[in-house]
Amino acid sequence: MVGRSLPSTAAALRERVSHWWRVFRAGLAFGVFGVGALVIGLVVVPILRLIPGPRRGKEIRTQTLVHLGFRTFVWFMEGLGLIRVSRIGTERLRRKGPYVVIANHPTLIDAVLLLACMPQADCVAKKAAWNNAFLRWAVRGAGYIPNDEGEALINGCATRLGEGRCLLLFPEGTRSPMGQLGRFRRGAARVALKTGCDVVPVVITCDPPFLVKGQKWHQLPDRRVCITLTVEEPIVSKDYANRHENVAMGARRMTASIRALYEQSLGYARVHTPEVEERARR
Amino acid sequence: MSERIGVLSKDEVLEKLKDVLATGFGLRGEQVVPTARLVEDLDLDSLDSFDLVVRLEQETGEEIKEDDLKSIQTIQDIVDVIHRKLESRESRQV
Repeated sequence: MVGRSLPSTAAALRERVSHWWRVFRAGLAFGVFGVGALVIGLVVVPILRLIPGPRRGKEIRTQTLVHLGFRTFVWFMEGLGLIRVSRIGTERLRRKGPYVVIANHPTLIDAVLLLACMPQADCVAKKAAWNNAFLRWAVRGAGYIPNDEGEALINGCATRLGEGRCLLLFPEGTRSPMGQLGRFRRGAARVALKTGCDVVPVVITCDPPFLVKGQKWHQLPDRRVCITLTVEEPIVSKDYANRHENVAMGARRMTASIRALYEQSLGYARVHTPEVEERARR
Repeated sequence: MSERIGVLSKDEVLEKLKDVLATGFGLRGEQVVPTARLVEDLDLDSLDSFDLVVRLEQETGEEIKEDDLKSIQTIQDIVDVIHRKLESRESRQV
């Protein structure tokens, strides 16, 4: 009896130590993120803004800085053994704009992972980021788009694309429910149809689930998290700009096609639409 | 039995609304039932709602105000708002 319980006690102790060691590393990573964001926001961004030039140039410089900061952070998290990131086709995200990059949103750090791959990217920042003590300076300096409702948001996105910039959007608008996709909003499709820009879908998988909605930073899985970013073939917006139908209908068709692509890629459901079949044939 | 007010009854308003939702948003007639909820059942988002209001204003010639929109959750709510506006226009003309 005693002989049996001793190894199990040792295993439990090992597991507990291992858990707290992971929590320590995650705390270190997020602490470094917070301090880094403050230093960038309070010191580097104001210095960059002193460089004379138009607003656009200042925003793009700040976005490049965010890109480099996030690349370093992802490298740091990988170095700490918290995550392993596999990148498939992410070199496409380094191309010059204008185009719209979309992604599903399984973890809190998806935007960080994607911006780490994109030297220039505008994105829609939710109100929490605009008011967050650590992020607000970089968010404002980079000229990210406020998460307003309706036409204002679409116009803000279209303006950036009109300047030849790249735009990152999460069609679900918030993190995906665990193991499934949330409702897809049609903003990305509307922006693409309005500007004629292509949409580049990125499929993100995360195993085991990590920093999902409602999960605290210290609720960590018991092993290293494997994250894969797969860049799919671009969706050509002109294919959905039918002169016989309006933007609302085109956006519905395009969004249904995008969702089907994600469902198929993630294996959540078997979906067959003419667009997905055509894309699969290509 | 249809409730007839002015030139359009509520049933006729519903039929017109079905046309607008079919041509503007690709919704099938059988989806557009009085109890259908705009967001949950018909998947109309905020931009669609904006487009829908513009189309309805063009169709009816009546302005749909923000206060009217607050009460709208279902197809029946839209029918009621449009019907009330047409009724009020009819009474003004009389």
